[in-house]
Amino acid sequence: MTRHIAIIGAGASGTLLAANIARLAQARVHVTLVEKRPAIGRGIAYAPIDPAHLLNTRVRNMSAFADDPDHFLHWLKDTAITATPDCFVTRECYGTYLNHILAPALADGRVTRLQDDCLSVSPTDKGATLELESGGTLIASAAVLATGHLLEAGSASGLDSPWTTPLPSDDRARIAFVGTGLTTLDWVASLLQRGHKGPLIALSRRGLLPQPHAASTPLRLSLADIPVGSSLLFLTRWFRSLVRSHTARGGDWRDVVDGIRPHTQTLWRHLPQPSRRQFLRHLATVWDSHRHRMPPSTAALMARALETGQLTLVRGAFQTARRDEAGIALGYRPRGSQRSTDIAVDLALDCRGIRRRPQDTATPYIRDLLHRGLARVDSLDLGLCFDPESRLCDAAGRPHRQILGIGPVTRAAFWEITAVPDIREQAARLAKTLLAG
Amino acid sequence: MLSMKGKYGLKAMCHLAGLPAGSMAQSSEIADANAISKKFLDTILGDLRHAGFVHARKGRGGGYCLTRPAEDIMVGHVLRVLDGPLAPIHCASRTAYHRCSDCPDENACSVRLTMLEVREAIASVLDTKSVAEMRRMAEVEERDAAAALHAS
Ligand SMILES: Cc1cc2nc3c(=O)[nH]c(=O)nc-3n(C[C@H](O)[C@H](O)[C@H](O)COP(=O)(O)OP(=O)(O)OC[C@H]3O[C@@H](n4cnc5c(N)ncnc54)[C@H](O)[C@@H]3O)c2cc1C
Repeated sequence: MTRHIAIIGAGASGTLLAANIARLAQARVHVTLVEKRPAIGRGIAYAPIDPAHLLNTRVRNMSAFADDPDHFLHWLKDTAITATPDCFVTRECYGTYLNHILAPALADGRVTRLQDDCLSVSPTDKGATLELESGGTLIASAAVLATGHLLEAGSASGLDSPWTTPLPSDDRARIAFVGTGLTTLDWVASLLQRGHKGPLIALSRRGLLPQPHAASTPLRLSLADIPVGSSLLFLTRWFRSLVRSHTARGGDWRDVVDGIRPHTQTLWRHLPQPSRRQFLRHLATVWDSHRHRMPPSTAALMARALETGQLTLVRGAFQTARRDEAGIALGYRPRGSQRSTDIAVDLALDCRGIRRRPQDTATPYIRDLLHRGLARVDSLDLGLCFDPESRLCDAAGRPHRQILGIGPVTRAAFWEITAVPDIREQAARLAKTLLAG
Repeated sequence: MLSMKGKYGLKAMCHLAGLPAGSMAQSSEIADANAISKKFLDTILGDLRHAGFVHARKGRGGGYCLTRPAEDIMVGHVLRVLDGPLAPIHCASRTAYHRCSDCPDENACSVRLTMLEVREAIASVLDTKSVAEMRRMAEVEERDAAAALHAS
């Protein structure tokens, strides 16, 4: 009997999983990729929006296959794109790579794609069924949720979405960004390269830009070295003292951050609940700015824009965005002040990243899963609950045998599961599980 | 290597794992039951509190208890806090590294390379054994011993 695996969403996660399955499977497995958009292998990160958008991860970390780390580099060479293991290529190029690795399996029929929106998923005795917007039903031996970050229902904030708003045609437009992370950097890079002249204002609580990349040799830490299971207080002291002793010996803090990276999922899994809460509240932003770094060329661009004064960093808490005849009044409370104030701009974008209350999601199939008690939200409101084997848990916490998740959908269980190096590991594990039945 | 601190710390954790829900144990009580000096035990309990494994409450009816179910606390987690990185010898740790005084080249030392493997094995045992299981193991042994005595 042929096993039929349905993957919902063909962004990076769904595509990486399909490619990992196709690579392991000889016969008797069929994968259907259900993707509502026309393109696959792109999702929100790798669409051809702007060649100014670079990967923030080096070529050597971006192979689709965990056990073949040079795969991406070799593909770049075969495609006659000049690259070194340490360089940063465009995100568009990565999307092309993802399409390329899936092409053979699509051509010989091991993988089929279906352009449709999945509206609901239900467990059955033999696997799972999917209801599609076109009216069709898909019967599968297993279903995998690969729909990425949760989308917010409407924009209550009054801000525009950086993912769907086109670059303004007026090159003198005043543009504000709420958030100072990688999304803001993408926009600023695009605008500057197009010769934008208007002022750019980036607002966030701490005004922290991502740290720049630099040559780093990750410490080869073993889990035996790391105080897993201890409180956040203990962990941060341990971490700081390790950074101190490492830098005293001439090393770089990046070596320590990157050395911990292979273990962050285990750390998260054993972090006591109060510590998880404290981390999300007080440290996540600082950690992210050190962990998700910007390529050196982007760092140079930002430094120049800050120096000329075209880009300003404002520290404060965003409050409202009100539209009037003159444009948009962006209300915020400056850091350390009790009184709110406004800045007048022409466009204000929501670049606050990906933390959304799962209960407020606009995604119909997730609302439906929650409504029917087939899924539940974790106690920190990060997302749906999954067990350590990436199986979706129902309202009572019992895992569904044949409904799994991959990528940012599973972040409540794994926390650090947004970047390709983490997703491809999960893809390799899931491919094995799914083939075993 | 298991130090005295690590050993007594685990005994104290086991003791606390046996408390009825909602109750606390005084350090003198734990010290007596496990033949540990109270002064030494107080330092250990201080470390365990600092690392988030035990709660302490002062005053009457106060004492110590675990911060979460004993099923969720792994033996290896407790030991790392009390004894530092899990490592059979010092040069097999990357964070608390000490070179052996008689070592010409630690990168080519066959003993060290072997010990690096040993510590992965140690971690995999200690990180999957919970304090609750450790306590149950002891209870089963005790019962078996009692049964054997009874039968003889
Ligand atoms: C701007 C940006 C830059 C990044 N840069 C890097 C980088 O340099 N290096 C790195 O390692 N990581 C990077 N990441 C992180 C990472 O690669 C992303 O997290 C990745 O987008 C995750 O892919 P995904 O497939 O899970 O989600 P998405 O990209 O969101 O894709 C989900 C797909 O599912 C589809 N879908 C959703 N719901 C349904 C439905 N009901 N039915 C059918 N289809 C549906 C959507 O149309 C979409 O195509 C970046 C992320 C972003 C946002």
